[in-house]
Amino acid sequence: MTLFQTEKQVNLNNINTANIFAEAKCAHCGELCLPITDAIHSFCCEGCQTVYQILDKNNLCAYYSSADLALKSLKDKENQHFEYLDDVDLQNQILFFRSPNVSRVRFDLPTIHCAACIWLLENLPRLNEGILNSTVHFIEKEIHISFKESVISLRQLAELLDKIGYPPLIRLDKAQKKQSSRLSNDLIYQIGVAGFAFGNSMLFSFPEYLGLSRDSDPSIVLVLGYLNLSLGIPVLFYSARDYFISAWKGLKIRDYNLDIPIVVGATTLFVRSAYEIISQTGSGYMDSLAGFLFFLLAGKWFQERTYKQIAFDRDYQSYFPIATTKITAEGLENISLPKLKKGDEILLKNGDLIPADGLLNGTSTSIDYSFVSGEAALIPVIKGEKVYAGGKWNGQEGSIFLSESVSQSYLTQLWNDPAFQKEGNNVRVQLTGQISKYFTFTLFTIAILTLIYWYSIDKSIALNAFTAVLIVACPCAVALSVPFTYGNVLRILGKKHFFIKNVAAVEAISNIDTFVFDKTGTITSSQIQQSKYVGKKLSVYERKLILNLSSSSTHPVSKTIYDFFYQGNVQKLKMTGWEEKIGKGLKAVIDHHKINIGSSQWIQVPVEDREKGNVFIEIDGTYTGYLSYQRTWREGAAPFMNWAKSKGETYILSGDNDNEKDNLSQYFNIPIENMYFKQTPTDKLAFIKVLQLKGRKVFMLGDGLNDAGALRQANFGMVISENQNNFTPASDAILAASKLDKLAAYLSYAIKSKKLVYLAYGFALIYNAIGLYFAVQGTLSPVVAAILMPTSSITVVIWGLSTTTIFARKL
Amino acid sequence: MRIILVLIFLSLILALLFLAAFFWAVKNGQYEDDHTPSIRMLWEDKKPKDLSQEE
Repeated sequence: MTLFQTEKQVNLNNINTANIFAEAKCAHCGELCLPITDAIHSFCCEGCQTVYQILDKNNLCAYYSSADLALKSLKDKENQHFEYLDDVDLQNQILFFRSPNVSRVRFDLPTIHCAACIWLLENLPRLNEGILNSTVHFIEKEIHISFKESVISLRQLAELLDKIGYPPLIRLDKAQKKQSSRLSNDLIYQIGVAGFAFGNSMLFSFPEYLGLSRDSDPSIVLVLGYLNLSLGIPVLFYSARDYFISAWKGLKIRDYNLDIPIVVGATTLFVRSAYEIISQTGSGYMDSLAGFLFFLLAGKWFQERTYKQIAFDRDYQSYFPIATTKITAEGLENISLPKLKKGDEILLKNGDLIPADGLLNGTSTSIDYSFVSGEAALIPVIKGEKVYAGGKWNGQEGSIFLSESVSQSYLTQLWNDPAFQKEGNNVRVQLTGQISKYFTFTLFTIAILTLIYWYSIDKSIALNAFTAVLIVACPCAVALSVPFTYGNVLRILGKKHFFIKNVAAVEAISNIDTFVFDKTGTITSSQIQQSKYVGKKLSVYERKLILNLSSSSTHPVSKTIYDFFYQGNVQKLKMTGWEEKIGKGLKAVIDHHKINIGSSQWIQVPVEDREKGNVFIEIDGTYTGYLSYQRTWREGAAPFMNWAKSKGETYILSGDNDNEKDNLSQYFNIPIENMYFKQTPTDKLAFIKVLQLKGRKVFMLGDGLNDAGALRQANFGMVISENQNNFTPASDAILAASKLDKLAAYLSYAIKSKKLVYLAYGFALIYNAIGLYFAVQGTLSPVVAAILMPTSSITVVIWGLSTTTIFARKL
Repeated sequence: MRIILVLIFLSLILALLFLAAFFWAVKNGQYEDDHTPSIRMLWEDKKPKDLSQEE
């Protein structure tokens, strides 16, 4: 740690003298500095030089060719504030386990990306002796740490992680839920038990399969029978438990789901087998019972495997910070968001999110509402003006008086809409729902007809045939079609960076007939402009002057200029005579140089450049060059729009004003009346509702919190994301932005998979028909059952997996 | 033929042991993370003490 600090010190000293001498870029961190040289390379400090030499010596200089990692100094990085972790209430919510000797905590570290990260993070105990143990979970990008609170506090721990480049992402909603893995563990245990019973009871049924005579050694048959019975008990009462619960729930609301025939089949199998074993009239079908439950549960597991690192159901709580700073008479106090009340005064720093609606107090500032409205421009606000939750504070430290509590704010009210109360954990595939109703009905009719028929002919066979029908018609294969077909689709698309929430969402895709698009950030790239500078080559110092001037204005064009010239480090220079004319440009005298940036009316521009550039630069009275930029459409947006138009109606909703209306209409070839501008998040939600009232199945493509309501209300809401770790609102699917050009192919593939499910149903029904052929005659032997039931399941599984994989080759 | 009963019980006990081992492995979290251990095993198992001596 001390090394870290001294390095920083040296670094700063160099920077201060940097203006006087010739500057160079550090070969390690990319800082502009007065260099220490080793004849070939320049370094800003000995620390960087040492690291470079170590990497060089070990042939690891490939590090410097990775643009993402190298040449970035962490010096300017603003450290996050974790003061709120001193709050005991919060600590109790975040900590897993707490005792005087050891506490355990789990942090999300989105910046984990390579093996070296794991190495560094798992060596945390060497950085601080209070840390006892740290374990990284790479896929979930999280770390589990055991530490002594007497040596290092939770806050210090978070600050340490932040300092070494892994700022923990602390969200209350994530800290609170962590039980989902427990639930799926239950399923794994159930599969284990069913699989265990399946294998063993097949072994114990071997004499029966081979036609071993009952007379040869009755005691062996007896023992094997009872062993089978004892294996059947945990299968029925433990492994099949969830099916009983679901069937009962279905019956109560007269929803005849597929679990009802499954439960009836399983119970009949068990009772009849138990009767045969105890009465010594047969050996029962326990192997079939265990086998089909094993397959069913495996199917459930297959479709339930989700993307652990992706959350589909985030609400505003995961977007907002966990706590904020309240200004009280006694001073500053950290307070968690739910505790904030109307009238509280809270302190906000540059980059902070406004947690609740309020009135600005003190100096004017500007707010970035891009996440709420989708509008890229900063909005200036003055004292007493209203600011809304979800905006990002941009500028000097200031404070607001809250006019609403967090949950009653304008933005957060969106989550009170009924759209957010729907579903829950209900992963019901409609297709199965429709089939199961007919299936259940037909099955019971056939069973009863069989019973009546045989009752009039031969009473001894009647019950036997009746139970055999219930057993063999058990819709195991039908129930497996969806999990394995759609489950595999889900998985294959996931590998291609198109993450769908669950199998029900895969099915929803095939019903879509209307497409709604958000504009900003969705069909336009979030890197709003693609800029290029043409003109006289600018020195580092001149760039610095431009940066100083452009950073003083909140106009979006200034921000574009700033982003374009930004190179990692901006030194503030003395500025006088600052002036800005809206629509024209701005000027100032910086460090005794006159700088002018603006339009061609603001600056003398050579005629040939006037049409080419968007903004022009003049230093000390001489024109240096122009910057041109364009709004970029996201790659693949137009082809996808064409595909969508061939499938149904398309609409564009935008939070922006309509100045791009004609441009949009021309580029995407969409009539102007299908475009709606200045849409608030609530408007968007209402728009989807209206379409649905007309019977439309709506596909919504969005990107931000402003689309959250519409995404949730839509039949299939999809979010486009530049980065998997970014916040994405609740949705049915998430697509990596780079894959937008493939989206049409992905959706067609998902639609096609519905036909595959139908065909799988066909196979399942053929097997059922064969089984019924034996069953209604009262001649179903355990061997036939033992062959037929697993083969039908396996056929459906193989069909589902192989066809979806083959079709995916073209993607 | 009775001897087969002994074998069957032995096999059942063995299978139960495997089932127990499976339960233990699930409970122990061995299926939770199937990626990180594959990276972790590539590092030298040096205790902090050894390293400080080297330096």
